[in-house]
Amino acid sequence: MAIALATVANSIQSLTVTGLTIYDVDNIPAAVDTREKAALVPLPDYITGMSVVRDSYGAAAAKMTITYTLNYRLFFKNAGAGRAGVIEYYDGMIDMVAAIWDAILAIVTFTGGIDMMPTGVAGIGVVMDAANNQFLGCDLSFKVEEFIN
Amino acid sequence: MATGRTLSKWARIYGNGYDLSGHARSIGTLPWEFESPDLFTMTDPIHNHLLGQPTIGPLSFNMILDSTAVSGSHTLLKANNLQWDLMIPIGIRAEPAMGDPVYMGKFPQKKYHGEEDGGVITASVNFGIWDAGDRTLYKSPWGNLVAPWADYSAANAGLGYDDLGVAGPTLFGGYMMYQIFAFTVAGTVAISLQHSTDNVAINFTELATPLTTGALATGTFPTAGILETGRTESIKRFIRYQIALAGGTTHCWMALAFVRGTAGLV
Repeated sequence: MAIALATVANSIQSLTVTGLTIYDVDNIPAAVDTREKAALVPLPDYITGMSVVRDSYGAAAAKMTITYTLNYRLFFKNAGAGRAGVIEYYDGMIDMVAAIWDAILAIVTFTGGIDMMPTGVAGIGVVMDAANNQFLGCDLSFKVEEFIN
Repeated sequence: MATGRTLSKWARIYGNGYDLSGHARSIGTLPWEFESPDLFTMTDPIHNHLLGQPTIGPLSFNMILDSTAVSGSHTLLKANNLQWDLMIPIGIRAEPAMGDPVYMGKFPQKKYHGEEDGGVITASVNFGIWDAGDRTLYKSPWGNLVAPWADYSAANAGLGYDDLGVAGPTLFGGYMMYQIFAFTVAGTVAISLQHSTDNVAINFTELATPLTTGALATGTFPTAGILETGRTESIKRFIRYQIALAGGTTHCWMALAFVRGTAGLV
């Protein structure tokens, strides 16, 4: 048995969304750069809502289903970019959120888990990266399901 | 073909040549049961089952009520009281693939209830048991997917799957169900079951008594049907589909499943 969390994060990184760079947990940028592409970066509280259900008898070899939520922050544009401030890029950011959700909903199979669904958008507005730079963005979360054994 | 456990999202429902999966919310249980009749006396030491007389079905689906022309659930199921050739392939953590388990049979539709469920208008659909008059020689609804739902445009020169797991052959026949969904260019389509001892492509042959639809005119599509072999037909270990497009037809979207007969009562 092994929880494939790192593999799932890698599967999310390998999704293709036009105009977006998706980061894995092992390459989180110290400072985000959105001049060429928006960025989807794992949040510090990357994993929340983890729960395990035992589906069969047994100990370590029992069949189990594990679910958890992975949290990301979307950095769409630097705050202040454009002539009209964040408003100028607001519709583009909403389109990007929809494109990310479309990419998640279009997943048929992915390495590491058995099901993934978008579960939330929060904090649309000005968000901060790890270097305290301000961006127009929001937080996105995806619920992941894995079979163990 | 993967093995192991799976989720309901990988199940599919095909009926009479229509893919109902996109409208189905749940498929309920898939019954196959040898019942114990209530005809025993108090002194009988054992109440035995009616071996050889299984009950297959009933089924209960919950659908989204969808009035889309031709293919919507409401369009297809509102007539009620019709016979349905139902095939329910169960993909193993992926879209149903060759070799995956399939539950199938011919079931009479008994109920169509439109209803409200938490703000969504749904349709509850019940099918009765597989009637004895329509039953095949075989008593199991569980088989394997020979050809997954796909667009087929040429004769099959590929490999099959291991339907037996041991050397074989078996000498107890079997039956297949075909679901033909669509086609391009009018003509004919023939679908058959082939077998082989070694899963080498060139060694696949038709059964000694071919199990084939014969040339089906595309004008009858969508369609579905069940065809069975004689009870003692020899079936080798590996199985694959074969398809022949003729009369101008270039593509055929279809699925095929097979239930192998066994030595016992089923």
